Amino acid sequence: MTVPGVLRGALGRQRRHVGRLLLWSFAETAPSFVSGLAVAHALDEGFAAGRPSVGFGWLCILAGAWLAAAIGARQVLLAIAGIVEPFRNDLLGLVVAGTLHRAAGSGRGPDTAAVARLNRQAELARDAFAAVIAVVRSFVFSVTGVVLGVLALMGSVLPLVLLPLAAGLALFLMSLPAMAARQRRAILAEEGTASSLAAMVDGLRDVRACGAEGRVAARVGRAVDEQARAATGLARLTAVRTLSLAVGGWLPILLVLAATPSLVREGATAGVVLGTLTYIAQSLTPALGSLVQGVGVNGVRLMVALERILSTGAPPAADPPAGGRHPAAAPPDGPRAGHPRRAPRGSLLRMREVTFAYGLGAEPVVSGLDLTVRDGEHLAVVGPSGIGKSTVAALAAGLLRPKEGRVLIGGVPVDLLDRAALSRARVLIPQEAYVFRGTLAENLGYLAGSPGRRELDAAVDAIGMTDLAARLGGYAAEVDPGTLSSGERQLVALTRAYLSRARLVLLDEATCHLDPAAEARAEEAFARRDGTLIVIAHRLTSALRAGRILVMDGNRAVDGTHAELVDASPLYRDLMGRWETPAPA
Amino acid sequence: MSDTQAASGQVTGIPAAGRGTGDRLLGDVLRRSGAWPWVYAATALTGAVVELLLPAALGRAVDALVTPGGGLGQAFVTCSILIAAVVACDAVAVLAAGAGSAQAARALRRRVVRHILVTGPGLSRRFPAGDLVTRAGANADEVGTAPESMITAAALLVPAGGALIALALIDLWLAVAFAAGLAVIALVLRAFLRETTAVSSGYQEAQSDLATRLIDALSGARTIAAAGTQDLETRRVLTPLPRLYRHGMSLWRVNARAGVQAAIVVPMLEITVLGVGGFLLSGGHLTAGDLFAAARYTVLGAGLASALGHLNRLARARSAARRVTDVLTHPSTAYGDLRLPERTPGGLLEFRGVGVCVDGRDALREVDLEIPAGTAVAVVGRSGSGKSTLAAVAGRLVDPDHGEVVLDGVPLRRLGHTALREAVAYAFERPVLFGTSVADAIAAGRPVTMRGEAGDRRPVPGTAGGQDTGGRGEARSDAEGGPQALSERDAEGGRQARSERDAESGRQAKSARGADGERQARSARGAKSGAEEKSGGEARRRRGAAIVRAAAAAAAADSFIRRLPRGYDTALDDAPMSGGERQRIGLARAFAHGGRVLILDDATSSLDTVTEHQVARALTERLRGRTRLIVAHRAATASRADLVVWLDGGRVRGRGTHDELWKDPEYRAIFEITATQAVPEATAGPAAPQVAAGPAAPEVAAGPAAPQVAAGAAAPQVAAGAAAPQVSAGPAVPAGSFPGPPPPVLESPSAIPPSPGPVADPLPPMDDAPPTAIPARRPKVIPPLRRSRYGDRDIEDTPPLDVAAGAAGETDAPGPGTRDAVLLALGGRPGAADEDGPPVKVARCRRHRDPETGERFSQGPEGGAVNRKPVSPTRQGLREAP
Repeated sequence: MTVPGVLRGALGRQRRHVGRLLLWSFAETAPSFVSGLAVAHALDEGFAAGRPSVGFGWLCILAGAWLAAAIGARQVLLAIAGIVEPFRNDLLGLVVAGTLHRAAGSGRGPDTAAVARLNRQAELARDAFAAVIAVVRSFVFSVTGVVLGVLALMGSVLPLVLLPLAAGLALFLMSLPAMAARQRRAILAEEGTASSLAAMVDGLRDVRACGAEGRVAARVGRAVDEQARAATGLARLTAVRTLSLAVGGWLPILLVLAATPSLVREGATAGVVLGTLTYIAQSLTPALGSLVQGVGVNGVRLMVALERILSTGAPPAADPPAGGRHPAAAPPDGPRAGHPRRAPRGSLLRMREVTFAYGLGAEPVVSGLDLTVRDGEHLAVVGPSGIGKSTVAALAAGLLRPKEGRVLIGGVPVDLLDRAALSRARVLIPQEAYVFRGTLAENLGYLAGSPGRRELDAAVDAIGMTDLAARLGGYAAEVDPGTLSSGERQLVALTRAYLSRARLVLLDEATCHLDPAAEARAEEAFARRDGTLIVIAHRLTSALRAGRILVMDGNRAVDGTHAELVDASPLYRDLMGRWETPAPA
Repeated sequence: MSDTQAASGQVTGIPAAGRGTGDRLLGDVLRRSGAWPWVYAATALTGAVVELLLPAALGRAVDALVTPGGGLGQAFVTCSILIAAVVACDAVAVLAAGAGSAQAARALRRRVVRHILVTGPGLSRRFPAGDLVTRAGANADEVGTAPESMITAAALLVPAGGALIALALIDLWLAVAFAAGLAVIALVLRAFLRETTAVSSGYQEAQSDLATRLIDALSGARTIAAAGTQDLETRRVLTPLPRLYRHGMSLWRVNARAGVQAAIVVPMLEITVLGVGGFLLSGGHLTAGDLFAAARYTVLGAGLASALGHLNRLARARSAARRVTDVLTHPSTAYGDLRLPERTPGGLLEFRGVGVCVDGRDALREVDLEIPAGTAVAVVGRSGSGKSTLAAVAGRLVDPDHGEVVLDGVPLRRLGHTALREAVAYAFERPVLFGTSVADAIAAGRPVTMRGEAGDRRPVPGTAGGQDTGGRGEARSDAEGGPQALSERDAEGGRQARSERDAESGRQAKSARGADGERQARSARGAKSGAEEKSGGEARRRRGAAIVRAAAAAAAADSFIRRLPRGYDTALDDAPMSGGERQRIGLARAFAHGGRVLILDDATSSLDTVTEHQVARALTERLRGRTRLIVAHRAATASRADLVVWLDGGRVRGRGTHDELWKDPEYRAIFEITATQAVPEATAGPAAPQVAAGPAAPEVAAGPAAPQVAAGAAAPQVAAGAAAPQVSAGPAVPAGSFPGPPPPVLESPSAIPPSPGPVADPLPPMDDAPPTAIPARRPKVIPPLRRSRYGDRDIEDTPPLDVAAGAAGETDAPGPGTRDAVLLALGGRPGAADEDGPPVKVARCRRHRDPETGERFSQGPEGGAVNRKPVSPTRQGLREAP
């Protein structure tokens, strides 16, 4: 999606408002047509001719034009609002969808500040877009009105007005690219200062602890200097730009004055000269000024903001499980919801020669991993953090594509399963439990459609969140995730997974905020549940509950029973040993 | 440089910011802005005057030119000149205003930045982070534009006021018509302002609702990815959009109404003036040119409103100046010029009557502590008990409000900036990383002057004051100016000095402390042989990289860093890290530092069992020799430390070994996790045996009674196991049903008396310690000093660890855990732990003043029943073993 494309789309979708905008623009720019005429006639036929009533009449016509303009201005503004408010909504939609898809792809979202910045960009883009629409439209209509007015007054004056205007406009357009570049640089520099200041303030403690005051002052100083340089550069070019305004706005006045003697000889009255000057001073110069300002500043602002939004908000090229991009309504509650080419049978998980690395220059996290977890088996994965346990879980769940090798669930390669089929086949609960604003029932039934009361009760009881459910006020009560502790959120997520129809359950440190007893209860509940359980262990006790254990050490992995591993894996022995071998005498 | 002086001049300033101080800052900014404001003033005022003359000249010209037969006369020339002048003034004024405010804002902002950095984290106690950013950012901008606003307002007043006079000069009635209209404008503007604020709150609420929903959803990114519900979530987040649209539209409507009113007033004003003027014209009182001039003057006069707007900006600039002044007058940190005495091991840390006041509350009160050099000390206590504050004052992140912290005999306040930062390294629970790459972020911990580990380049000072006796004096004076003289030049100089010294220390580094030091040394030797004759740059770079890697390895971060997209060179922005990973980078940064004091403020809280164990091992093995102050929540950490300091309500409630303190139920209560979800009835299910055994079995081992404790078993669950009320059902819990191999015969920590339980006393007196408790894998050397001797020694005269020190660096000799005589070096406050009431203020007892306190200290929290130093079995065993 390109910036012009987005803007065209925004205008195209709101044809009604665009039409309304154009219609009311006639009313709004009426004075630019009427003013010179009215002044000329009021003077020539009224006041100068000794007929003040006629003069007042023309002034009343002018006042009427201004009133119409005022009403028009209101409608114009509302029409613009009608265009830019949906535009803002669209942008927010892009931002939200893009951010969510991206975060889902990487497993991590931007922080609060980044979200706030994106929202602000959408607001900025809206305001800038409104300003650009307003000034461009106003300029076109004003110039048209002036041309018509001058023609009505005295056609021969027109070139005196239009030629300098065209020259000024050309000058402005020529300076626009440079202007835009400097404006953009100024905007970026301002953001750079703000973000480096924010980083500095956030890190005050660490900066002092590292004794890095000098280095950080130099770094922030560079951003500050850059902002000052950018602002100065902008001021310099703005000063030059003033010339184009002078050519377009002031030169016509001088030309008209210079031509006045000859115009008078052609029969022009004082009123005609005054009317022409009124046109120039009252309509043309302001319109040109706001065009220069509006396009030179707001136009650039709009481009920068839109580029930001599009780069962060663009829908990702391909979702990992992109078999068919489902509009993924509520997760499917049965095989009716969609028919993948092959439905997985059972929950046998097979990983064959799987190799995965996060980047070209990175060491593989997993290398040549062979793992089979039979239907109904209970496997624990242990190893130091950062060793890639979560990566294995993500690979097994089909959220990451291995560089080499295959992952099969129920005999079907995971990359053949679309999003819906995948979420029917397996459920992955990560460490950071997700609870959203909504009822408890909605939260619990997130992966299972709308489970019945009895089903809910059974799951809640099995996981051990009966007390929590009662405290929250039952299934119909609204849940505010902010009021739940991490452990409570994990209980909700675990119950949700327990309720899902998937036979393969992957708990990726999903119980780390529970106390050991609660963790044991939840894990036992899953072990009793029909299907396969894979636990990425946060505590080693989780390993002791599992039938089989996968020990990850470096990018190698060994699996076996506890007894086997004590023999086979030095790391495992090291981990467990300290608790098991009595101190030698 | 004058800015710098001004900034440091604020050191003694009193943070009382009134109207006057803000205005003083404005004046200051004006004075420092150079010529631009004057250029602006000159051009803007000239332009204003010319603009005022122009309508009259144009009117004259029109009158002259429409007169048949007249040529291009004087009037036209005048007009041309005036217009040229207006344009020229305009162009120069735009440049002067823009460049002037940019320069003013730049100077002010740099000054604020320096001041914030020099003042340090203490500032954030008074200003929230976002507020501080606003003050240094937007507010500094507003102050920067103050001269411009002032001049603009003045320059706008000239034509506006002048136009009124000009109208009156043309005809008095015109002025009357104008003034009447103007009153209307003012009323409209006021109405507009009132209404906008009323409506915008609904809009902002909808906005923040949407943002909150998005942030919520982002926190569940992995769940959403796994469930494939991105689109559902997008819709959920966008739910407030219709509301946002509604509020947005009503905002526009208010805007439109006010816009209509504003748009109509000026033309109506003009028409009124034209009408009155036309009437006068038909009466022969005015010419056509006069009428044109009157119309133009009306428009100019209406500019008064925007002049008022600029006055408003000036008011904003004044309040911004007050806000910036608030920051600038906050007393900044002043550094002394002393250096630390060269000691091996260095790192004797003393707290002398330290008190810190946060938000009017005492975060620390009357803390007297001595932490012997090279020991590991755990600081424990409930949240809010002052642990982090203690850690912060220990390395002068903030200054105590009372008392003093003294490092190796030198008060921290009197240390030079470089000397202080060379000596103390920090790791935090939530480290903020800075630098371009991951490697850079870790290297940021290395002090500006790399520490020559051998110390042979350091002059040994004759006094504790550590007077500089030359040596690196020259290099020092530059770097030691520290942040007080922050400027680009200094920063550059610091960097140069640093790289030079890096090269030097790279060649000189030899015996280093701990294993990573050995690796450093090895790599340095490699660098020496390989690249000595080459430019020092390559060797320095390699050495730096080796230090970074060794530190990362010690912090258990090496393996995950190597898996990042570009390994160590991955940019920080491209390396999204979990809390635990970030914590480990923060640890690596502190480990890379190499100073004599290492302070960990809850810096391993997000690590899992295995990793925490690895880090703990690094702490006790590789990093021994440094004084380590470890704020901890886990019992295992406390049990590994040579000494535990127990804080309660900002006071030292107890100190001793973990084992000793463990006898106090209130001490044990610190380690209780929020066990609200513990489910005793779980034992009813088939899972019962495991449930009971799970939490109890492995963790127990780390309890104070376990022999392995000192071996460094790091089990974060310790706290859980030890504290869970169900477990404390007693020794019956032991892990008979443990599904794995039988656990060692251990006592549950919960079995430790308050009331003597059926279990053997876990804290046997000194001479009864079972030597069998020593794990074979930790061969220990008897510390050369008997513990009891420390009690009589004066630390200042005889650094207690000097004897043991030699062994530390060279051999795989015992860590501080063995020469931890430690405890006795601490001053005690008898009665502080009295459970009958809040601790009363007692006379400070510092050991070197009162040899008796060594004895008194050994009064346990139980109230003085133990009059002899209780020793943990392990330590006792260590002494007896070989």
